[in-house]
This record gives sequence, structure tokens and C-alpha cells, in this order.
Amino acid sequence: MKQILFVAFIGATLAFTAAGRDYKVEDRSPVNHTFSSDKKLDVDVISGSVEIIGDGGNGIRVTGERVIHAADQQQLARAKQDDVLDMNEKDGTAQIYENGPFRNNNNRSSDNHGFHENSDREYNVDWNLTVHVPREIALRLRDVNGSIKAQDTNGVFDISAVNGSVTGTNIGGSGNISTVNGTTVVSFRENPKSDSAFKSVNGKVDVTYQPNLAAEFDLRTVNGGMFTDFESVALASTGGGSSKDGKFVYKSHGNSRIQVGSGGPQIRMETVNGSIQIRKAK
Amino acid sequence: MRISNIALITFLCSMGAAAQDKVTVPISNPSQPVTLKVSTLNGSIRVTAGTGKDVIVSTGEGDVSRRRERNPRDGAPPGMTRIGGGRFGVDIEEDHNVVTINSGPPGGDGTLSIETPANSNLQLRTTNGSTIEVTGVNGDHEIENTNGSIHLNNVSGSVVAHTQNGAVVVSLDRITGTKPMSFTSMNGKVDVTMPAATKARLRLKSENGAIYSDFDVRLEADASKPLVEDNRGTNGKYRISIDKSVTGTINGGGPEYTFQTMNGNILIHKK
Repeated sequence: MKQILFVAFIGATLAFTAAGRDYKVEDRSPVNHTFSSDKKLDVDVISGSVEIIGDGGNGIRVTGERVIHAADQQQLARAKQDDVLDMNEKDGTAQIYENGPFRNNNNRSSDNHGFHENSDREYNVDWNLTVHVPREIALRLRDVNGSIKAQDTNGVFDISAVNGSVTGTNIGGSGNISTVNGTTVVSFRENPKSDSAFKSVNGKVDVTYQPNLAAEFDLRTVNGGMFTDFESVALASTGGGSSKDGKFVYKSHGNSRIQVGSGGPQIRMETVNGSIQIRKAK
Repeated sequence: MRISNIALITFLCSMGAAAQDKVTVPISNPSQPVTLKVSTLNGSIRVTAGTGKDVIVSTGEGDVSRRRERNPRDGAPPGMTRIGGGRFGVDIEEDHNVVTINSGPPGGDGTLSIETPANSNLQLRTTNGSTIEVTGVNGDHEIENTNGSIHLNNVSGSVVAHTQNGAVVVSLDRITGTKPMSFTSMNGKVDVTMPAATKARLRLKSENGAIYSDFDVRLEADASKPLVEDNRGTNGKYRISIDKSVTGTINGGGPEYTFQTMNGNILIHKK
């Protein structure tokens, strides 16, 4: 009886690992590419990590690795054919775009790609990329399953992740950074001069500004605290009354608004489950 | 509709202290009573009779947030102070003298403080508010709390007040009309003060408590019959239930007032 139970246990374990996609075949291959001096970088990947590093150069240098995990050699070959990294230049924008059968209605796809049935695939592809860029380049970064990091850049930014944290280190510029499941942590070398937003849903939002900060903040968290080491004053709620269909209507979303310094750009920091921290750089 | 009268008044506080928002809601027909409907999930409700014609709503900080405000480093990371976060979102609508206020989502433990014209019918409901408190309002009042107490001070008109966990304390200056009233709790005392001349038939029931009154309550003979439910024909049960209420009249009787609690005393005072 004990042997039967043991065999049953092993069988259950194997079934579980198969359902969890414990792929046996791994393939790693390097990624190298150089763009000319584009003014904007557009990275859009589904899976993998993205790291952007600003430097004093003029070109855009992409290095990294494609990592495939597949059920077998046949699936590995299929992954290599299905999931590719398109790197194009269009209207002054360097485009890095993970393409495959999971994409739909995009204008950057390779001719042989576009959405088609792929639910039977037994592979996973990660594109782990490091991109060196000129400091002033504008960034548009997207990642579904993976973290995004930007370091030492100074241009406008539009960064969005889904399952992964977003980190900006020693950056300048203004823009939007958000994720759904992960933290949004940013430190500014130079404070934003234009309206900006930093958001998460499940994770803290933690932004460090230079001591000469002058801005107005619109803050909101549902489950978490909001903290700062800047001197600040509270501002009125942005909600207001109005007439609608003959009725008086007032809506306030419960945001907290504060002013730091003499005020300036509107900075929105928002999460649902997590704290918000506005830090002063030491 | 006097939209121009809308006022948003904000008190600025330093060092991250929270602001309080105050909204003036113009009433379509100030010569007629207001119906005030308030629903909130987390937070207390305080309603007072004002001298003006408008309804004034303040979204303030609750006890936890005020405590944090006094000690802004409470729970804060080292070297940081807390930014006031005890307010919650609030939606207010006025339509033909009916003012509807819904607050949420629960972003804090804030209190809704409302000043309403003295003649207002109140429909107040909260789930996790520490208290619903009303002072000096005349009208037909329906008050419901789940995890908290109800305190109605010097109100007039009629009252239906219920909470699951908390005391129901009501002081009626004047009773108008002949509407039945109800004061009930599941876990808490029921303490009601009424004018000495109140004419009513009282239905009293406390499962685990005593009943006290300085009214001359003329108890009625127990005319209630056991209630029998026979569902044996459908594989059900045969059940007999007996109403343990005590009934009696004061000042010759009148509309029925129900006083009920599961765990707590019932006190009926003469004003």
C-alpha cells in the first residue's frame, strides 16, 4: 500500500510541474544592435527585463540576451520562429518591439507576424535587454512581465509595466511612470519641470526629489500611509460642485493635495495597496 | 439653483497636517423640509440642525487620523512625517430638496459632519462608523448603524433607529404625528427619553437585560399565542415560537413604539 501511495504522489508531482510549465530545454542567445542618433527610444516587450542607461554617447546600443525555455526541441524551434525582437527606426524613433503570435493590430510588426492562435505553445521567451542611450533621449518603455529600470537619463519619460517594478535612478525630465503589480521607485537628479505622475496598484510609490523642489502634489492611496520629509502645506480638494441635469452634484475622490516650496508642476502619486513616500535627496 | 453659493473652504495646515473640506449644498426649495440621505462604509456621521437654509457638509478626519495628526511621526519611516490621509471620497447630489451623500471608497476613518436645516428628514446609514450622532433636527428619522452606536440628542418628529453592535440613545423633545417608532439594538442598551405626555403602546423585549422606566406603564395581559409552524408534511420541522415581548401603554396608549435589544438593558425616561 505504501508503494502505491508513493507512486501516486510522484505522479501528482509530475503532473503539477508540467502544469506549472517546468520546461526542460533552455536556449540563451545574445542580442546586439546599434541604432543611429535617434531622439526617442520605444521599447515594448512582453516578457523580460529592460534596463536603460544614459551616457555621454550619441548612439543607442542594445545588448542583452534572449532566454527561451521550452518543453522540447520542437517547441524551441517554434519559439525561435514565433517570438522575435523587431528593431526598426521610424521618424527619429528607435523601436525595439517583441513580436509574435500574441500581438494584434500593431503597426510595427514584421510581415510574418500578427495575432494567431498560440494557446498550444509550450515555451516561454524572455528578452532581457540593456540599452545605452544619450541622456536627453525621450523614453517610451513598456513591459508586461518584467521589471523596467532607467538610470542617468534626462529626457521625458513614459514608462509602464504590468507585472514588475519600475525603477528610475538619478534621472531628470518629466513624465509618467506606472505599474500594476510592483513598486514604483524613482530618484531625481533634477526635479521635474512639467506635470508628472507616478502610480502603482499593488506596490509602494516612492520618489526622491532634490531639496529645491517646488511642486503641487495630488496623492492617493487606499491601503497605506503617505509620508514626506519635505515641509509642506495642505491644499483644498480638487472636487467641486456643479449643475447637472438640474441637480447639484459634487464629487470628491478623497485625494490629499499638498504644496511643497512655492508650488509648480502638478505631480500625481497614486497607489491602491501600498504607501506613498515623497523623499528629499540627502 | 444657486450654484454660485458653492463654497469650498480649506484650512491650510503646515507640516503635512490634513485639510478639511467644507461644501455648501444649495437647496432647491428652502421653504420646504429637506430629506437627507447619507450612506458611508467607514466613518462616523454627525448631523446638527443649523440656522441656515443650505446643507453644509464637512469631510473631516477621524479619531485615528487626528491622533496621527497630533503625532505625525506615528507609523512614519524614520525622518518622515505623515501626510493627512484620513479623508475619503464623497459624492453629494441635491435634487428637489433631497440631498444624497455617499462616501467611499474607504480611504480613511474620516467623519462626515453635516449641518442641515432644522426641519429635515434623515436617512443615515453607516457600517463601521464609531457613531451616528444627531442633534436638534426635526423630522422623520431612519438611522442605521452596524458596528457602532446611535445618539440622537434633542430631536423631534419620529425615529426608527437600529444598530447591531452599540447603544441606541435617543432624546426626543417633541413627537409629531402618530407614526410608530422603533429603537433596537442587538448588542447594546436602548435608552430613550420622551416627553412626559407621550401617548403610546410600548412593545418591550430584552433577551439578556432588564427593562426600566419612570413612565407609568400599564402592562397588557399576555394575549399573544404561540406561533406554530408545521412543515412536517414537506419533510420540515414542527416549530413553536413564543413572542417574549412585553406590551403596555403609557398615557392611555397610542401608536406602537418598539424597544428591543438582545444583550443590554432598556431604559425609557420621562422628559
